[in-house]
Amino acid sequence: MNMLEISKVSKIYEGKVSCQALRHIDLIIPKGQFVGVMGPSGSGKTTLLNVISTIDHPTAGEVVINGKKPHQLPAEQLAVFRRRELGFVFQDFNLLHTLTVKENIFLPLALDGVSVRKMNKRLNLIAPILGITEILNKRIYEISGGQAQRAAIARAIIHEPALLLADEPTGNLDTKSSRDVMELFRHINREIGTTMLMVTHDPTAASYCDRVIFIRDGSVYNEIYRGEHQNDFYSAIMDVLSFMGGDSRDIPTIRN
Amino acid sequence: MAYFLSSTFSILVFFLFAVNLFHPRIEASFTSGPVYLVMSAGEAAIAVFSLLFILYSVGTFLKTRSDEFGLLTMLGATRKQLNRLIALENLIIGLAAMVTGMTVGLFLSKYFLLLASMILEVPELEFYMPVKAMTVTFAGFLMIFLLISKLAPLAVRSKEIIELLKGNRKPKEPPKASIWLSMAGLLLISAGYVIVVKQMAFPFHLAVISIAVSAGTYLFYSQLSVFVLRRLTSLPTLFFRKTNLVWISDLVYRMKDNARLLFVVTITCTVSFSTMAAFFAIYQSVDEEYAKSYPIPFNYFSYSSDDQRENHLTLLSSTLDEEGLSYQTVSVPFLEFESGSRQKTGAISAEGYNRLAELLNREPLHIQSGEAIEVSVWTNKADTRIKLQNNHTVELGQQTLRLIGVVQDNIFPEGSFGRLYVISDADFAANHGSALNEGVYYGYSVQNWTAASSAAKKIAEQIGTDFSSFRYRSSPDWFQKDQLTYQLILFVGAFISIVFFIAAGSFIYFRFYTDVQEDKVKYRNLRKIGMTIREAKKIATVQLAILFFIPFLVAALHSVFALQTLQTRMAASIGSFAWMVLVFFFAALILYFFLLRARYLRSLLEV
Repeated sequence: MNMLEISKVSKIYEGKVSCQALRHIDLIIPKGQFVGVMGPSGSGKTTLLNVISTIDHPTAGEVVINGKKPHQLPAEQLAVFRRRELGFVFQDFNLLHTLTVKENIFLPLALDGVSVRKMNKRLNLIAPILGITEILNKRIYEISGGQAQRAAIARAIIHEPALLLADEPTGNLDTKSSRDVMELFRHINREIGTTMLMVTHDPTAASYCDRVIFIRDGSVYNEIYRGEHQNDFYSAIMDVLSFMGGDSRDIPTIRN
Repeated sequence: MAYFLSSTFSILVFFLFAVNLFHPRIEASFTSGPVYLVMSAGEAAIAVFSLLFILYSVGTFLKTRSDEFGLLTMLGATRKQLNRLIALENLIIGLAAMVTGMTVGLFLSKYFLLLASMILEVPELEFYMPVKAMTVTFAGFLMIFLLISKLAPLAVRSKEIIELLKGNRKPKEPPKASIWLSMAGLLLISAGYVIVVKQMAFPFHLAVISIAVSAGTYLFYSQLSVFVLRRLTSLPTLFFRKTNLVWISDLVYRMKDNARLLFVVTITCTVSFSTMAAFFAIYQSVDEEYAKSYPIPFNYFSYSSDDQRENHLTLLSSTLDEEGLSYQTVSVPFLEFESGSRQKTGAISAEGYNRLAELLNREPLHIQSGEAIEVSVWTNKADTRIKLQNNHTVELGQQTLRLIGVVQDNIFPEGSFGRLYVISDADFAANHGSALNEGVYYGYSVQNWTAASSAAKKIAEQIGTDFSSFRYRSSPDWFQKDQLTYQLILFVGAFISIVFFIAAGSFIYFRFYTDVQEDKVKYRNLRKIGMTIREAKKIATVQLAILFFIPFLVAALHSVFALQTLQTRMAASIGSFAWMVLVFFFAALILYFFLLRARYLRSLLEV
């Protein structure tokens, strides 16, 4: 079964200088797959993510998530669709600093009017996997970046979304925390079977995915699948990136 | 834009007021009287207020632009250049606001003058070219803006560039509230209220009440509100219910941050509510108060030495006839006894009192020989009531009389005697020889007395004064003078109250507006994770409403008790007027709230 089907999606930003951010993109993600999206700045990967996350409308084409076509829904129902079917992980975590970690994680469920008992049950299920049991009652300013991102991931998966979307989840983290968070993503993907789409600049982060899609100038440039070894996959990603050219700034020369 | 509008608003208010103040007719006819004084005081209050208001809005204006200043600093702008930029910007905005404010003011001044002439009951004040008002407004606000352009750079001073760029986006510790201070706050407010309700009297009790209630109010915002909200966060079923999670937790911070502002707004509103209600009540009841303090509008006390008696009585009746006023007369002989003070002790016979009582529709008195009934010389107010003790006696001349009763309503104008007793006809006749003075009181009761002011003025001009032979007192002329003064105070008071009121609302709005950039990002992210626009609007509305209405509700409650203390000093009832004022303000507040809410939501949810 396919969790996400994108067919012939285009996005044109109208303005004094019109700009075509996406050109006829086709993409199918089966259930349970962990997909990375890479590409140089301005390649359209963020636009693609925005269209998939339903906060931006495609100019043409169709997006089907979990068998539904969210872009046909009115705005209010679209928001409800997002909080039930999608989970978001952001580069800068976007946790509300007025709330504790636990309250932040409960937010999507609370908005949906889920009972406290159910919320606690779900939390008890995922907290050990994420290793956040100790920090649940802490405030956001009391925890580290890595812990904050884990809390954000917990918030993104507590409602068992059909699709987890991550936008540069390691962008604000140091090397150690980045690796922890990526391990966690893969763990969630294996254990809970969540379908994931991650936009990243970081080839190391991308090497944790099952499949990496490269985008340039608004269209799919290439895609590669992971083999047996992560190191080989990392080299393969690096090869494509250097072959693709683009902005050399986006390709770290040495990692690990 | 918000800054420009608030500046324009202050200028407009100041200018309209100045147009009135400097109107040639008003200047000509009221220069020396209380009218001019009250209006000048009002103008000065508006000027001081404008300064504070503009200063506050400039702070908001600059804070929302702190990242712009951060960027400029990063590009190498020196402190001096930045200061010059801010000062120049302020002057330009100030000048633009002045031009707009005065132009709009010029258009509105015609209607405003019409309103003023209606309230002041002078013939219509015609429109004129208010050169003087323009000069004063221009000079005044030029000074204000110059001052502000010097002060404004302080708002962005001494900050690291990184702080300017990041604004106040740093996460903060959750505010703490102590249960004891919260309790103390509640206790102080209720103590103040109890003193008012129980009418306890002790030295400086008014000062004690105001300090207790003010301190209590401050604790209410800084401690109790935070404490209650934090308690709410520990009730899972309530706290985790839909949007409650977001707004309650956010409000904890906002309450603590804005405690001082909310306190100031509450006190300002309390003062303006109670003064408005009091002025309104006084104004509406001037006639009632006069009717009470002068049960009979025209009073002539003639001593036995008065040889002008006939002439004066003719003057009175003929003037009233000339003015076409119908009247009833009554004459009552009276005696005066030494009391040790300037106001003598008076006595009248039961027969005389009963004739007055019949005219005034009051209960007649029945008095035996050797008895006396005291009649209050003041109107019936809580703090002037006479308390009758058992076996109390009173000495009048050679007689010692037993006091058997009290009448709490005066029959003669207030303060005509030090004390007044009604005694039996026989005792009255027997006492003639021993009295200090004796004489006859003549009363002219006019049904339509409020219209008798010109008659009263004519009589007062011709009758002269000679306290050794007669005392003449009338109410219609004084009534008219007082009414005009109160009208004016009401006019100025209402104007200033409304300005304060609008400003108080704006202050709260500015606080939200300062955070709007930050909140915009927050709501955008919340909407990404599936918050509907309706939910976002609900959260913003609830927060704005709580911060907007609570100070006004608390102020209304305070005012009710403040007016309670005032009531003991007034004969007329304030209650109904207080309600009218509160209802009016509340209606205006709701209107204002929806206006600001629409603006706030628009800037909050724009993409």
